[in-house]
Amino acid sequence: MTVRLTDLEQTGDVVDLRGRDVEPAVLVDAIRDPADDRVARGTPGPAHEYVGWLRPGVRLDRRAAFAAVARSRGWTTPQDHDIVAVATELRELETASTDLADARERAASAGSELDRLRERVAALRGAVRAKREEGLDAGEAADELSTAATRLSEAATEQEAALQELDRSRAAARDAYDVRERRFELEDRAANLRRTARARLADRVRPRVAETLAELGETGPDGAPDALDGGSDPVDEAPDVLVALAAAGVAALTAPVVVELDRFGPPETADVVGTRVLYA
Amino acid sequence: MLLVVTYSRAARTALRNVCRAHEESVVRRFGRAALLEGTGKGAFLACRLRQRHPDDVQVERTRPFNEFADAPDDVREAAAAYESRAAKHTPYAKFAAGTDHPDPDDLRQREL
Repeated sequence: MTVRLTDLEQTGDVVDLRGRDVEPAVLVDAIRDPADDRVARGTPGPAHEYVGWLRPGVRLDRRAAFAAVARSRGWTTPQDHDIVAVATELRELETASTDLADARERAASAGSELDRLRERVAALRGAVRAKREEGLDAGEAADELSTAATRLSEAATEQEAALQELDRSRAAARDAYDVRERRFELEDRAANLRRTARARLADRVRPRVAETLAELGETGPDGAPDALDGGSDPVDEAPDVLVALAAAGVAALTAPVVVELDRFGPPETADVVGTRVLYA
Repeated sequence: MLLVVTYSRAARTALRNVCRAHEESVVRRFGRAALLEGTGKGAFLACRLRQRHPDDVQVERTRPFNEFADAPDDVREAAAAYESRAAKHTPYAKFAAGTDHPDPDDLRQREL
């Protein structure tokens, strides 16, 4: 591993930058960003996200971390085959739009235009009748009525067309919804499969983490964990940072780990995690 | 009432959150679907969901189904007769054959 920052360059499996003005977060980013080669190293695997930066106060999602540790070691689960099959089917699904807002709006506008014209024709009819009853010349009014009646007839046809178009669109949307529903089912299935796989992997990793924790001397005041007392599980009880360290020891890490711990020195930590360490 | 049906995980979550936050407008929940009150508030919530997930939210409007008013007499009578038939495993098509009850194709093609 070679670390190249503005004013320093160091090479080694264990690099100690404590006392230098280096932000650990910067080192972590440099390791995780493929385009950044300030820390020349291998590519981080799935476990690095969880156990690649050991610092006091780190929060560890044990199930997710342990599953990632298992994956880093190439462990598989019975769900893996189905996970791939579901992902493949999902990729091949072609979903179409079901958004009919425009068609609905056109149908609604055609309807309100029709209502408007009906009222207009009724009003004009009344006006014509009134004029005739008064003995007045209803010619102009009658012309207006005739024009309006024609437009009313056209509007009725337009509404009919808009409604038929909406019906056709709704029928097509039903097929599109079928595909979306299939996708929805597959996504739920994928999430359940991944959840089951994670749980299985985490369960298999847990005893190894417990062992490593014990080796670190983190088993509690009375020594080795006692499964019979029905008490707490050291893996759950121990501080997150120590569980993360133990988990790092179980993982097959391909990139350096950034460490901000005083309790263990660089050589000891390197021993535990089995890869290069960067102390900062 | 308004029937809201979702077609994606995100839309289902949005519906769930809306139902939780506006219980007074929810008549019934079915996981990925819900019946909302046919009020301005119900319509408002349905429109919001449609706006947020235009392709994954379907909204239909329901009416109470009064079988005595909305279903033709012969349909209702056929249903009652079929349910109380003696031979439990007879399919409807066979049951209706040779009677005055409407046959399945006829039923399928009739609009309410």
